[in-house]
Amino acid sequence: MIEILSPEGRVGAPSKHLAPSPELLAGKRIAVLDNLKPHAGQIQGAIARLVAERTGATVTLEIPKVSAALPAEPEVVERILAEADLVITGSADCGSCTSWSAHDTVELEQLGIPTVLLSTAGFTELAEQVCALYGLPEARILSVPGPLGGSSDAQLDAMAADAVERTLGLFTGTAANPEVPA
Amino acid sequence: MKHREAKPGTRRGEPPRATAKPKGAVVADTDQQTADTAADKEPLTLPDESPEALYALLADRGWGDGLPIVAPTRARVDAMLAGYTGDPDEVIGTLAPRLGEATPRILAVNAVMAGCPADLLPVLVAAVRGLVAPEFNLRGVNSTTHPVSAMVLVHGEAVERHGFNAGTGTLGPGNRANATLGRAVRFVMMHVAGGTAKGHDGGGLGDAATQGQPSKYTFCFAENTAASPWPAYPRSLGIDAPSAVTVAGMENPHNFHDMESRDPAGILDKAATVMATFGTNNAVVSDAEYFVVLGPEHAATIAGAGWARQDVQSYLFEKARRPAGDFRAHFQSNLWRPWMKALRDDDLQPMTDHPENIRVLVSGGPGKQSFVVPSWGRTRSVTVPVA
Repeated sequence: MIEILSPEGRVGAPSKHLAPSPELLAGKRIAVLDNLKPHAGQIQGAIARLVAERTGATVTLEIPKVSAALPAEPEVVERILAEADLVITGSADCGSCTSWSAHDTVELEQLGIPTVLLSTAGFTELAEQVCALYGLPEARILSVPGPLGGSSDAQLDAMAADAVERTLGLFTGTAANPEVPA
Repeated sequence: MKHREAKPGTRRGEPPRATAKPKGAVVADTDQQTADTAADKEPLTLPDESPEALYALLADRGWGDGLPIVAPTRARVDAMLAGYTGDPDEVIGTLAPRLGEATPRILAVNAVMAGCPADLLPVLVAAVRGLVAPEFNLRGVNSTTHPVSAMVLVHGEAVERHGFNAGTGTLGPGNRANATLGRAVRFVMMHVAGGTAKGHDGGGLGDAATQGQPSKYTFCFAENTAASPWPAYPRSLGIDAPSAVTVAGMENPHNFHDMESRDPAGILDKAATVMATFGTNNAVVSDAEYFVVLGPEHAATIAGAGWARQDVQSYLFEKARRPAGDFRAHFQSNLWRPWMKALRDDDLQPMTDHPENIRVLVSGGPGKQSFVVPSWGRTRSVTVPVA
């Protein structure tokens, strides 16, 4: 028998928790954090407005970060903290943008802002894995069929309309999706 | 509270793993993700070092790049560490997305697996110091759908000391130091950082590269300082160390040849056409870099006309351009400097926003060949002295 050493090294990240979920969205201020991927801001804005219409919340801020492949800038985060109670962000529809959108999502949740991360079907599993790696496996991930780039306005509107109910569930912590089976 | 379906490789009470299927793996406490790896708690044992036993280990753990490895026995890892004078347990950084802690000891395990000669660890440590620099953006490099790899470039005395090939065939194949240093860096990005593709034995997820590229197996070459008419590349950055390593998040290199030119323009105009494509991320990220690596013969022709490195950079900045209207027609989503957005449609827009983003050096042997390396985009090269 020979002894082999592991090449992986320890993982040092502490686990994290979701920000407290509001029971009702009425009166809440919603921000859209856009990573400027094609149509990301468009569909996130559409979902935010539909949620606001449904609940009596208000869309108070639609703000871009400089790049999908970088974290949200501190001044962007500061404006969100000042002007919003809830965030819809994304998109998670490629590799680096998923990684950095997940990073922003976890950071915002740690700052007390319930944050829904919009992913497309092809990247939802990656978004879940990356959020878990960042210490927040229960992150509020909203999966839409996608892709976003190349889709028509009608297709994007349909994806947004279909996502409203789930977005409400994710914000309030009452999403009807099944528990992960043992 | 969970909102989603169970995933393969995820069990209740166990955080999802980015790097491997969980079979046989230690089960970490969900609320305390600081558990040691399996190997720290219980040594992995194999019946022998046969290829069959090693491949079974790799399959079980989700490790490796598909090619054979050297068994990382304690004796080999200790031998690798023997040539390293620093603290073997220094945490060089936590590598995204897995946030694995990179220590010289863990890097030594990866170096052994990759087949590195026992004296190569200081060079690998320097390369990994580059990966963890914020401007390298490892989180992005390791997770993007783009095929980006970590280009590793060795400079100075380390080239000869460790037997790197800076001459004919520097990009390979055939030289152990070149081949294994690049492979060891990739192993660190996979094993420690969690950048494993979904197709990786069905288990990985960190690396979303749509197709990947061959240079993700290994991508290492050396600067041919002896054949360069200009000061060594690190000197151009103000780094005055005897040896250094550059890491950069780049695409595969693209060759260009010029057999006939007697003047710099003839050679560099060809380089400019390689650079001026809409098919690379340089087209949408204006502060992205290029590496333009000249063969010694091309460099001699250019320098013989009295051109310094800066002249090459400025000329390519001037010549690698396309009409601004063409850029706009192709990219609504872009990261161009404000002054570039102000150009009129028929103005020529440079492929990068500053001559210094065009990194020029000499490598390789005789022949009229040179190459251009495009960037992933949101990453900067990092040059680190070898301690």
